[in-house]
Amino acid sequence: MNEPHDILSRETDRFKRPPLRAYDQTADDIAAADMVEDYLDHQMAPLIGLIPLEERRRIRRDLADYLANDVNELAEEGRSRLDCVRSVIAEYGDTRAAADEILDHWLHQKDGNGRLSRRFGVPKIYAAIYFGVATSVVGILAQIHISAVNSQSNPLPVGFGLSPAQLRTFIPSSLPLPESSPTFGTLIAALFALPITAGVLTGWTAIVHPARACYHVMLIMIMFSFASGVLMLPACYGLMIAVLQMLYWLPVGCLFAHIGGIARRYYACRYRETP
Amino acid sequence: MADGESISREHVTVLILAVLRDSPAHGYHIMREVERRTGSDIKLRRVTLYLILRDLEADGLITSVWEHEERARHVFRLTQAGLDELEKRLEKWNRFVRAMYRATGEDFRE
Repeated sequence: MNEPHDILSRETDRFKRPPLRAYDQTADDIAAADMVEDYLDHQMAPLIGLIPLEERRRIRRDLADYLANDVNELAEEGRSRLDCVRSVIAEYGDTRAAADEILDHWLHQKDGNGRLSRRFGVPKIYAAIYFGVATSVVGILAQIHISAVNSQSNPLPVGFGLSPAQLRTFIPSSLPLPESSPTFGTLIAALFALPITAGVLTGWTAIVHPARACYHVMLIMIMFSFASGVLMLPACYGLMIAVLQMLYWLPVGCLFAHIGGIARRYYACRYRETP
Repeated sequence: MADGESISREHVTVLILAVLRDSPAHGYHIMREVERRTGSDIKLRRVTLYLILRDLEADGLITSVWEHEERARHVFRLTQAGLDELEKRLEKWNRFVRAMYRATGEDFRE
C-alpha cells in the first residue's frame, strides 16, 4: 500500500529545487544571485591562506550585505536584478585590487602596529630592514677588504689570463682591478646575492606591493651609499657600491620582491591545517 | 579628481563622518552623498568605504543596525564619540587650511 505513495514522493522530490534562495523567483534573479556568489568567490580567493578563516567569513558576509544593500537601492529604480548586480559589481571594481586593499588593511594597518609602521606602511619597514641589513653587510665587507688591501703590499689582481696592463684597457683607471683576495671575492658575491635575498624576503613578508616598497627604500639607500662612498674616498669601493646599487640592486631588488610576493601568495593557496 | 585610494584615508574618514552627522545612512547613500557634496571630485571605492566603516565601528565612532522597512538595510549612525572625533578633526583641518591660505596669500577659489 505504501509503495505508490513512496514512488510519488520520490518523483516529486526529483523535481523539487533545493531551497537555496527563498526570495528568488525568476531565472534572472537566480542568475543575479549566482553572479554575486561568483564575484565574492573571486574577491575572497586572493585572501585564502593569508587572512584567517574566521576573518574571511566576516569579510565575505559584510561584503555580501553591502552588495545586497546596493543592489536593493538600484532595484528601487525599477531595473532588473541582474542589471543591478552587474552595475554594483562594476562599481566595486577589480577584485584583485580590492583584495590587495583588504589584505593591506588586514596585514599592515592593525592597531598593534607602531606609529612608524602606520606612517610609512609595514612593507616599507620590511624593505628598509632587509635592504638596510644588506647594505650594512656590504659596507662592512668593503671596510674589511680595504683593511686587508692596506695591510698587503701588493694585492694580486685576478688575471683571467690577462696581464694587469691588458685588464686596464677594459676597466677604467678610477675603478680597482679585480683581485684574487678572498675578501674581494666575498664582497663581489655579496653585492650580487644580497639584493636577491633581501628582495625575496621583502616580498615574502610584505606581500602587498613589495616592489613599490623596495623602490622607495632603495632610492634612500642609494643616496646614503653615495654619501658614504664620498666619505670613503680615495678608496672608491663605496662609490662603486652606490653605482652597483643603482644599476643592479634597484631593478633586481624590486623584481625579486615582486617574485617573493607572488611566491608567498602561491604558497598560501595550498591547504594546510591551521592549529 | 581623486578616488578614495589616492586621497588620504584620514580625509575620507572626515567625509564619511560628516555625511553621517547629518543623518544616519547606508553604504550606498554615503558613497553617493560624498560624490554629490564634492561635485564628483572625490569618488570613494566601495572596498575603501567598507574598510573605513568597519574601522569606525570597531573604534565606537559609529554604530550600525539593520533596518527593515520595505527592504533590509544596513544603516550606520554616528555616536557621540564619533561626533566629538569629527569636531576634533574638522578643527584640525580648519587650522591647516587657514594656515595654508595665510601662507600662500591665496583666496578660496570656487
